[in-house]
Amino acid sequence: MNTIKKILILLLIVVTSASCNKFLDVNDDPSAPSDVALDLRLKPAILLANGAAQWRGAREVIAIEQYVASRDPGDAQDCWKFDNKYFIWQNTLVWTYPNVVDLIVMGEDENSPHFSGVGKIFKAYLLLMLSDQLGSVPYDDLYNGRTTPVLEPRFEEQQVIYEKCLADLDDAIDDLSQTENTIELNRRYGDIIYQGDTEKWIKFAYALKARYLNHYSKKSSLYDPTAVINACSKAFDGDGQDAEFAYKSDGSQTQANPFSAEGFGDFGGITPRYGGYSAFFVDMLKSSVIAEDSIDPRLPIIMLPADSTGLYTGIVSGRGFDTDPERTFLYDYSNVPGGFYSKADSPFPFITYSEVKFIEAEARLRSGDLGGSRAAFKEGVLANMRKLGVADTSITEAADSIDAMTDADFTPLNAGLHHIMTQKYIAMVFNPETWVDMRRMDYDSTIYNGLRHPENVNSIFADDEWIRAMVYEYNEENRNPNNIPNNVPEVRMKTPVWWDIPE
Amino acid sequence: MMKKILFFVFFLASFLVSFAQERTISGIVTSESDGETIPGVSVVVKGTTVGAMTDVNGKYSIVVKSDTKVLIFSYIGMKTKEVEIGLKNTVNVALETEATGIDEVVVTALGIKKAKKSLGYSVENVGHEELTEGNQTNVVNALQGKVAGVSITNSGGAPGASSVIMIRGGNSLSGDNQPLFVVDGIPIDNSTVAGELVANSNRGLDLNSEDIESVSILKGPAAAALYGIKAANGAVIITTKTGKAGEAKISYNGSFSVDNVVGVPDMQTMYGQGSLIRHNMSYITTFSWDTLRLADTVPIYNNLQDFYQTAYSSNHNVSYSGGNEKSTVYASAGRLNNNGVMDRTSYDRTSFKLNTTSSLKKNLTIGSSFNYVNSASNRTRQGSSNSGSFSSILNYPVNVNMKDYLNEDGTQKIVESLGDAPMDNPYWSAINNPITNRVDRYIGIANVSYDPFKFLNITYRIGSDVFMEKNKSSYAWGSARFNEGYVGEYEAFNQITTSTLLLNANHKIEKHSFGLTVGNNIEDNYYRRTNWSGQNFIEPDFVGINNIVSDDRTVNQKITRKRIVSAFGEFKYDWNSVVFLNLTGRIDKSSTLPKDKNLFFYPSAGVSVLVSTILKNMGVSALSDLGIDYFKLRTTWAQVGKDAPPHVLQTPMVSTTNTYTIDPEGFMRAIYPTGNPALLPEFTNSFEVGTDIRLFKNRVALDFSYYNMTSRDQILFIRMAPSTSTFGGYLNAGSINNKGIEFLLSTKAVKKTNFNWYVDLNFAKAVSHVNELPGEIKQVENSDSWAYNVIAEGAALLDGPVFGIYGKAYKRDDNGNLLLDADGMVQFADVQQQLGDRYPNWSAGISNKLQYKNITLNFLVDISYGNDVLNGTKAAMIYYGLDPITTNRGETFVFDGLRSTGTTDADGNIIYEPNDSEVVLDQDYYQNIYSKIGENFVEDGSWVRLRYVTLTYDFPTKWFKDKISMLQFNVTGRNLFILTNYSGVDPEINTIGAAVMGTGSIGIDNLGTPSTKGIDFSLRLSF
Repeated sequence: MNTIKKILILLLIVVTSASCNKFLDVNDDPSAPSDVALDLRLKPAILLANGAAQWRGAREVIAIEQYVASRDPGDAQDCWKFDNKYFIWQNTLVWTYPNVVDLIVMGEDENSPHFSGVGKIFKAYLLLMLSDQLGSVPYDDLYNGRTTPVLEPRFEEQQVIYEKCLADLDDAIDDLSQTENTIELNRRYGDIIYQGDTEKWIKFAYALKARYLNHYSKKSSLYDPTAVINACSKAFDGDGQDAEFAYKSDGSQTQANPFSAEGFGDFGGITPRYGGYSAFFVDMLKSSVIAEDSIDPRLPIIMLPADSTGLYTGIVSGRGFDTDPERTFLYDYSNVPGGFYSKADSPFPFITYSEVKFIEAEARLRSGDLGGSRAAFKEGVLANMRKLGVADTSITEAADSIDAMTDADFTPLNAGLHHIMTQKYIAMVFNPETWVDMRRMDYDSTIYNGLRHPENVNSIFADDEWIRAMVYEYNEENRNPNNIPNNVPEVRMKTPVWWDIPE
Repeated sequence: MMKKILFFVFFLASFLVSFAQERTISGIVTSESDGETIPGVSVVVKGTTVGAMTDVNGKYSIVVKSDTKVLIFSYIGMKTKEVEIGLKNTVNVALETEATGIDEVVVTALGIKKAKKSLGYSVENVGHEELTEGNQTNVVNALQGKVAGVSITNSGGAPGASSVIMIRGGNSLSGDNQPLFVVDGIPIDNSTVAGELVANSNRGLDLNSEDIESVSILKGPAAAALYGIKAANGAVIITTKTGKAGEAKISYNGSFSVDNVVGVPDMQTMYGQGSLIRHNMSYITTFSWDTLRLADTVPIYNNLQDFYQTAYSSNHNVSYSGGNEKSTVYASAGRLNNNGVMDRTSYDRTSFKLNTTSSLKKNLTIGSSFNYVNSASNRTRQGSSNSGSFSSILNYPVNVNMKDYLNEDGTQKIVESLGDAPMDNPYWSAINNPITNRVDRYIGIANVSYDPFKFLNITYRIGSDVFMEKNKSSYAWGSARFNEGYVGEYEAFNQITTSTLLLNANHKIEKHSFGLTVGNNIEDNYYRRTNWSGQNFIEPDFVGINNIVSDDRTVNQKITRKRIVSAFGEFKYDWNSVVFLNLTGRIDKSSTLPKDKNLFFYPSAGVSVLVSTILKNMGVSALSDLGIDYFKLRTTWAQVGKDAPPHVLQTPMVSTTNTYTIDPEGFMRAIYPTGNPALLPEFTNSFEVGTDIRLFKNRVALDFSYYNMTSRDQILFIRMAPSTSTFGGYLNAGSINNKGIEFLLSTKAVKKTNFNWYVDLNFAKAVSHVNELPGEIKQVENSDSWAYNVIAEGAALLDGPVFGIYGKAYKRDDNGNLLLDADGMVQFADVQQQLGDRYPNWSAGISNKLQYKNITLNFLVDISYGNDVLNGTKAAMIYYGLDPITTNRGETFVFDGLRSTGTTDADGNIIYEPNDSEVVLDQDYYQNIYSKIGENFVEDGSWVRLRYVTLTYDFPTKWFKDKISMLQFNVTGRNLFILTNYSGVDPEINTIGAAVMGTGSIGIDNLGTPSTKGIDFSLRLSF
């Protein structure tokens, strides 16, 4: 028995010995690095913010915005038949958000505030885009890269989210203004937007600030046109500063613009996601007040004509392909891919110089500075035309027609808003921000001429009711039921978000 | 009466034979234990069928030929005795009470053989004969219905398709619930490659049943405490054949099989191709939603039934076994060609096995075994895959001939569908879009056993299970899915190496026996898989990755490593072989847990008491008066620990997304699992109590077990709310309870000279219950188990079943009234609901063996009661307009429910009123509502089946003058008869396969190959 005891003790020693610890040290994932350098995290974060979050926030919303329309009558996106399978939530919070927060945290840890600043810009951008579509979202309980994750994050009111995110943008500006910064933003070429130019990142932050402060337009006690104009003045001040990057025409499907035939958005092939641009949008471009022949010079740049007819033909939202034999098939319409915003290498801007000028135009209009409003308006239109490569003659023509406008054209408010929002709509193809504008304008057809309920609209909407918000994702509903607001689609889609409630 | 006739026949026969020279032998047969005479003892002349039987006074008389040397005396409950008669004319015999069954030896953990009577837990043994009875290719299937509490579910009728095995329900909500497989003391891999689109194989399939001597099933953690972590779900301990000293034997067995599908789902033949929705301008559609009935003159094609063909398979095995006192050898070769019921599907296996043992000295034995297996499969796509064989068949309305699949120019003819992605023709696909899989597997084991002292044995064993897998899946140029071709391949390497050192000491002092085992175990797991794929071939006729421009190729790799070092010990004590005590303890140190918390200990204790012996020794005859010969009580309490999966403490960084999300062009945090650096080992506690009873001179044996086990703080993969910035991760949370009863009744119903009838009945009732889940989580879903059109999936439900069905349901109010929309149409409930429980309430197997002279009939009746099945196949058939239920299309109906008034009350709740609105049951209703509500497709899947019936004829060996020691002919019918109310083909279904973890996918029928029935003809020969 003695021998056995000795052997037993020996064995136990073997088990707990140091060599054993080394033998067992095989738990680092052999398939991928466990630590990736901060500067190498930037590019994926930017790409995901665009191609995972913003893309998913636009995929269905472009039908609400009536930029595009579906092939089949009564299709869900066109007709607001949304349910809890709307995935902007996971694309933003799971795919993108932690990568953005890692920039903030690692930037702090590695004395590189420029990364923290960029991280904060996207943090604010992502959460506000999400909140603009849904209302309340979590903030304090979200992933922070430091503490143990909260299993059931608490949701916070949109007003609070706005305050916190605007503060993040201010912090971002501070961080990007720091002179002491260890790792250069564009080291190893991760800054695919501004190539390490912190000044431009700061302008991006101000542009977003202007956008979000302007969302307060229905809140009489909070809306501060001066603050908006002030932010605009520190935002982009010329061409070539837009917050965007080009997708790739020579890469894979997941590197090509999602709206292109080559891309990952399912816009190509014989069964594309949408049949084409909407009749509303095509008609808008065909009834321009700043082009002599009423045809906006951007029409043939934004889209291709129908293959079969060579005409620019839109689909009436909710109607699907017409039963008219001339308009039965995909090739009878102006399909989505192939235009300025839908080529394989087209960018999908976060925010542009042109938008900033339209924001300024709106703020000046609301503050009574009609002349200043028209000047900003003009620059907004022309900047977009320059970007799209519109012929100089057409640009001059547009400039001349805007110059010919007077205060009377911008009076009353809705008349001014009509011009501004129509041009802003044209300049912001596919951007989910357009839906914010449409709700702020209460889908007013005196502002958006020709805007109507889609045909076959979801029967829960009365004639005077418009969709106000999207439905939260079922994964959140099922797993965080105590925190999620009422998510019954009938209620959710009719419940305006906080900034959409006038006061 | 029968007895008399038989006796008369024998008498006559012996009379006729005895014309030449004969004599009469008589005598009395008594019981050795009490000296009483035994009536009904069979007396047979050895090597003949000449026999007699003792009368009521135990007397017999038999006429034998003069050269007769040996008589055989047999009686139920007694040891059979052979007696040399010499020249005597009176032969009196005393028979000993049979102890077989009581002194049964079973193989337990680490290959340690133990007397079954000493065990505090339930072990069931399946011998070679029983195992090979049903002629199953898959050793897992060979256990079906034979062991109480073991549930085995096929994944369908595709050749080589996986089967899932679970012992006593499920202990884990997200991990593997299948038991550990051990061959000759070395754990081997029985995993299944995940992927719902192909019927993958479970790797246990590589084992050739012909090489297996016996299989012991260790149920629950108690039985497996010495195997540690991996045996938390029980263990299947396989002992392979070894050579026997003194008898050199060459054996051959071969079989030929014919298989057909059990059936196909019913189809309507009233309506043909057509669609109102989406295709209203034309009949260019794959749907069968025409609103006009087909004219009688239109030919009808039975596309589904006709697609499945008769499959012919063969299996050949040759083995050599021999040896002497010093060394033994067993060598075998096997070849199986298993063809599928679908064109060009097959599973072929070639295996070689060599087992040797050698005694170098009296106290030193070495042994080695080597097994090489090559498995080659040709597979087809299935399930919801858009080119799955079954789902593509549904694209063919009954008025379209699916066999007509080639255009005149040799290209594929497909059913055009306006605005839908076209699908390949199944016949064309079988030829042009193959999936091939090849596995080369090597299992090598070496062991040394040394007895330095009488009381001490030292055994060392090292073994490795290594396999390489190659898989190639392609679409030819001209395929509807990939017009210019696609190829996707992977190569995997898997290795499990295990080293075990055991020291075994035994000592006996008078009536006290002590045993102590201590051991060390080191296990090393490595898995690497490299995938590559691409589309658009440069040269249309060549299928291969080099035939794709480099930009269009993708490649990725997955590696996992895991190591465990353990020390363990077992202390045994028995008093006078009537009271047995077992204590075990094990310390594991696992690489997968946080470094400062990766050491954990767990013990077990068991007691077994032979009550019958104690009473007998005390002179109490209460039990024997009741006919109880043997009565054992046993109980065990055990704990088993479990570590985490490898590499989950930290969130992995990944560099790819999916086909519909932007390429990150660098590293991003994986969307799951989120790392959890604070994971702790999980523990399962189990308690088991049972009895073994033998009655009526061992004629009846009854084993009964009750068990109750609870797993707490499970290492659980939890799907989390997206606001946590992950889809899920591993947490220590949740608790599951499994309890149940099992009993096993073995009877020798009839035991006569020439006729025996054995009946074994096993029964199990098990309840798996989810006691706790973390936070507000109400279910643990398994999205790998989604059925067609995401109607429902497998899920474990809080305060409900582990094997639940969770899916889309009708919208109802609290009183169960249907809530209808303003038009009076049914609606979907807002969130998914529990729809059923896929685990049977109880299951049973009844195996019968009837022997008459040289003829044996075996059959197994298998029963499952109360298991729900999710019929995704039916949902698909309705969607396509092929299911007979859709023939009421166009009829109007008023749903019994409450209709929305479209207005809300002050609280914002919708006001409802009784419904009187008619709705039309049209294509829109069936496609977009009815076929998408999972609730409609949950059915009772209870069944009774004749799993197999085998008729065996043993040719009398004297015909061959001892040149052939055994010649046997078998006919086996498999799955010939199923009694069920299930509307699909077979309720024993797991289309998605054994790879699905946790709650699994048993009971989910989702467009797989229907299960098969077949007949085998086989021949066994030894000389």
